[in-house]
Amino acid sequence: MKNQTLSFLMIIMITTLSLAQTVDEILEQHFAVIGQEKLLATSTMMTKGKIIQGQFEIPFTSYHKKPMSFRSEAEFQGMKISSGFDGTQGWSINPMMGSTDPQPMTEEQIDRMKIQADYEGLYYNYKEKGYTVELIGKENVDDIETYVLKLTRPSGDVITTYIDAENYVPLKMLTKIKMQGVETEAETIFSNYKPVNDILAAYSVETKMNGQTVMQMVLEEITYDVEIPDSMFEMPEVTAPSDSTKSE
Amino acid sequence: MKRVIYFALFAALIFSVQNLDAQTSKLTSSFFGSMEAREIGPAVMSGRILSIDAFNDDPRLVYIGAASGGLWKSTNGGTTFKEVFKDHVQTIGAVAINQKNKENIWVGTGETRTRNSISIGDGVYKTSNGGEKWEHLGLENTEHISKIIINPENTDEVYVAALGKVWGQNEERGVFKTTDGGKTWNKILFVNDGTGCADLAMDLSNPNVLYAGMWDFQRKAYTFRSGGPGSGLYRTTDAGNNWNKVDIASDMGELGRIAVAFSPVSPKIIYALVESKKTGLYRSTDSGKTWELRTTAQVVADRPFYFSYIVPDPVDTNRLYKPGFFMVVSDDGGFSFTSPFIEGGNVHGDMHALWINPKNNSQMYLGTDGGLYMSYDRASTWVHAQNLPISQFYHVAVDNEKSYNVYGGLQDNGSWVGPSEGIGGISNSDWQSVGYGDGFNVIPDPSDRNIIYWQYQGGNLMRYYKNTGEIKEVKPFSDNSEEKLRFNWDTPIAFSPTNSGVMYVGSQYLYRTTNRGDSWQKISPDLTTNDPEKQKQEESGGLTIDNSTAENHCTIYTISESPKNSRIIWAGTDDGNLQVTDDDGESWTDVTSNITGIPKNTWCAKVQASNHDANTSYAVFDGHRNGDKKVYVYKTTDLGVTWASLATESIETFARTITEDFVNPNLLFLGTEYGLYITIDGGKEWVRFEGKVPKVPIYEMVIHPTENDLVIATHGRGILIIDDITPLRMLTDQILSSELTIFPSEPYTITNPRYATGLSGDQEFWGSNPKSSAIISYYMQKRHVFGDMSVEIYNSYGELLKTLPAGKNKGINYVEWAVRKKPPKVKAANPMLAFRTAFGPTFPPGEYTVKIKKGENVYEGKITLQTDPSTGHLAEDMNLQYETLNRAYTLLEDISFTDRQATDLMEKLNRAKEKVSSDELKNSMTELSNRLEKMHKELVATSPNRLSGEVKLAEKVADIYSGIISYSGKPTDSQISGLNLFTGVYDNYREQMNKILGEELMMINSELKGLNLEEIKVITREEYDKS
Repeated sequence: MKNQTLSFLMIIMITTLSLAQTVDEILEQHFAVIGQEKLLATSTMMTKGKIIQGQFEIPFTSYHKKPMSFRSEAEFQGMKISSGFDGTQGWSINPMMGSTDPQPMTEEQIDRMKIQADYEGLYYNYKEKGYTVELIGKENVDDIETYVLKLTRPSGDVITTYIDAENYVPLKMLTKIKMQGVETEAETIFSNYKPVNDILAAYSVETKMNGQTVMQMVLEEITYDVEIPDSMFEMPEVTAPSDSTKSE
Repeated sequence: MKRVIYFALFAALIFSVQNLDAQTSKLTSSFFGSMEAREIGPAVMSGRILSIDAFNDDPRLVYIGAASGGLWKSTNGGTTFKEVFKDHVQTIGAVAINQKNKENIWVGTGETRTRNSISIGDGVYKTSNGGEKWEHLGLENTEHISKIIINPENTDEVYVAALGKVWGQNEERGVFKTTDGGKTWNKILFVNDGTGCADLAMDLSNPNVLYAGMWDFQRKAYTFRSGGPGSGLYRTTDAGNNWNKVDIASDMGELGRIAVAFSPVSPKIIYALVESKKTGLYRSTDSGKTWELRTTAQVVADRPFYFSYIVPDPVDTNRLYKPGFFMVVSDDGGFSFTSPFIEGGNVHGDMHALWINPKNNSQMYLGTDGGLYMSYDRASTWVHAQNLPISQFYHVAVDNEKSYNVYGGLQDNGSWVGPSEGIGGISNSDWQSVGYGDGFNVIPDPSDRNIIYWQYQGGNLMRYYKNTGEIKEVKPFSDNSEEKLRFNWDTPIAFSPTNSGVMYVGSQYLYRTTNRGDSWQKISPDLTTNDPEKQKQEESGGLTIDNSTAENHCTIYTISESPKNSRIIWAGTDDGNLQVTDDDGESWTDVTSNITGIPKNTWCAKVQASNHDANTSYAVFDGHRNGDKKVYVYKTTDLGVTWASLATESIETFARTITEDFVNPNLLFLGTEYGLYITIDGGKEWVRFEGKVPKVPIYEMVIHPTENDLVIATHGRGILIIDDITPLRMLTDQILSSELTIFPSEPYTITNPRYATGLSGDQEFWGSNPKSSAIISYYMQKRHVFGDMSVEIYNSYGELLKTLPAGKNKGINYVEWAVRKKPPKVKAANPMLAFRTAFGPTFPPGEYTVKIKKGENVYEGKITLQTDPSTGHLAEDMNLQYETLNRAYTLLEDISFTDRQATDLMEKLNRAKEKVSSDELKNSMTELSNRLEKMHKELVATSPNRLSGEVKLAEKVADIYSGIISYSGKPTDSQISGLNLFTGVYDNYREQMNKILGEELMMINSELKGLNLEEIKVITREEYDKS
């Protein structure tokens, strides 16, 4: 009898544990913690910071505008590298590649841009976006218990996020995507969470590939609701052919 | 009442959980934080591979199972590999891809080539996502799995051929079957507790038909038996419900290991390679009804325990491959064999796995004792995959060279020396072969940089001269002509830690030389049990005698002289004795019986005299060869009179070696069959070190005496190095309970990066270098998630030089500081200028302050930079370099500023003149604007095309800057005079600009003012520096 009672209790405990959270409940808590509602009430976001790659430190500014516009500008020794996306079309300018003319993005790049540009975040309204999200279990990250959420995009991209089970912020993310048909993986680690206007953001983002840190991003300033004209996101006109290729 | 019971039970449950929690170790693997090992290979000669499977529809997807080096996946046909089994045991016996779903892979752990150094597995695993996550499906006690076959018509139905324990009897062996994807298993064929399934074959055209080669065998430390009444070929035609023993031929007598295979082209044809007193290859062409002996040739019959394996060609019915010592092939259905190496064949012998593309039989993957090879011409020529760092070391040693070298011997791959760091990493070609045969101890002579000692199996000790490559055999011989010296397969060699001219070697006696092996002094009696029953190696092998010295027994296996007292020498034997002398070998005491809790004759795997106390020593015993996987680790503090066990339950399986830190006596490293364990409290608690040290057998470790690196010889994953273990030495309870503690660091030597050209493609393993920056290390109690955290560096004037992102992990963290100023601020239009100015000058030597800011708290530490004395530069030359470089730096920034003012004013003039009606003013504004444009184009190149060849003042100065920055000594006279020249040129531009900004602009502004237009303000230096 005692054994039966015990097993019954165990079943209840186990069931309770496993039922403790569904995907949507976890996300609801996560949204509450990060101030999703406040974020949705804003319309633009400007971020300043630096990207650190090995010994290089590259200052950048990025611009987000609802619902899905994005622009980033970075500078390396005076050379301006920029890219933009207006919700449908994307472009980039990289003088390091020998041209200051904008290059249109490929379909694959545009699809990825939809992750980056998504103002409300990857997980908000994920069903409407055609994503599936499943809770694949719990795992410890550095002795912190996390919920492991696996998001799959129609393109086949798989993004697995480890959400702190106590504080409901993402601690890390594994991204598995195909680039030009080749599968690549990256790990992104989030820290230095701070609120601005009651919206929580990770001010430090580290990216690893094959276990090695390849990039660190440090945010210095986030400003919401700054005036950003739509033209910022459109592909700039190609300037007249430059004659400066000839040395004078 | 019931409710009360529930509550009480619930409380009891919770309490017991809490109680467990209280008892569990305060340490977890995560307290090591970011500390991790780096892998240096080599992959030039890789390690044993026993299992290969590729995806038939696209064989670029291939999985390679190493004998003790994990599972590797390639999606590009072997150009690159990725390890996909890093969290599990590294010994792979079988791998099978579900050909209907390439994401679904099955792995059987535990290799099945039953050699003396075989590794032990822990059951079956499955993945449903291409190796990302693995599910353990049980069958732990099978220990060794030879084959997994997935029914192609029902992929939840899977057969597992389990060899079972190699070193003892057990019931969990034979053929197992699951019909529910591995949730449950049925043992469908079992003969007896000493017989396992060595091979299994399925008729893929009728998956109900299977053959199983059952093998009665046993290995002991001192002998091996292949063959017995349990052996036999079994057949089922109803998917394993019923099995019949197949009578291949009459009067074969007792059988040994049997390999069996269907011809994939015509499954009526079945081959069986059957070990017996007259081992032969048999063939049936009528689905097993009748069998015909095809050959008993030695190339087919060789060494069945290691090479019982045949692979019919998937296209050509008559073609049959026999991998073994060499590879041979038959084109007449196994009647005659010849080499397939028509134009090549430079491959490692000892072949165990061959995959042939069923759609193109020219393409093959081959697994050998030396790694993976690929052929595209039906085995004629081969490419070696030099990208699998799965080498199997027995021992490791280091030298004291600047950037030290690592020495070690590899299973079946000789003796090697490689650097601990190299230019851009450690390449395969950085490793040098110094000896042949199986490699074991490879030790540099502590007092002669030109000499290395190495050995091949069975005590064949060599003295190797690096400059000439000459080898002198220097092993001791007995002084009694009737007596045979018994040397272990892996004979111990040790140098005295107190006298660099003294070397020891052990047979059954301990020998000592003081002249590099030219003469030997026997300094002990027979220290072993000298059990004659364990010395019948000439009878070892069972049906096929196999006496390779691998079973040599009753030998000394481990030697250690006390660093604190040279008269104390320890020796441990493979038959379980531990002996010590405290009078330089005059008398010996067998202290074995003083150790309690250890079965008799348990192999003494390691004895290490303490670095701190003459009476203290550590001993590890390894019982796995007696079927005993318990952990035996002991410590004595009274020269062996009493022993305390240091084993705890947190250690998963048997240990092989122990290393004591030479600074902190409580810091010990334990090498086990399943990875590395560390204690910081002298052995009360052990915790597995998971930072890139997989569950691989660890055979030996050494701590570098000056670099403080832990150098690990793994038997399966090459050499691993944990750089600078200083933080581990410092972990005290006080530090562990602090929120954050910065560890003191050794001075950082400023070095310039080194470059080499060598683009050997992607199919080469590169070992990792140690971190090349200055390292700030600290312990943090919890992972940092919320709020600011960063690391700041200040100079002695309190100026903030750099803000770095902090490491946020729980445990030990590292932050790398490149010790360089930010690069000069330039406005490059051409990438060449950007590249040439991408690095800032290094900071001068001296002491710097580190501040870690975590929320409101600030933690302070120091870091010291020093110049590299090995460059030999004079201080005055380095000062000149520093001064000149910084002059060039300033000049680059000045040019950029002046250029910026020129373009700023030009743009503003052009804008302002639109509003000006006066032609005269307009003209003078245009004229000035044109002059500014000219100046701009003279100061800096304007084309983004890096091959434009455009070189202006900024580019010229950048050329000098980048030339000076890469050399820490005296700049050339040309660089200095060039810099002087360009400084003068710049001064002229500056003077012009000052004039423009003075009189000229003032005049224009006054006119603009007169027209009620806005005056032009040009960017100031302060504004520019901030921009």
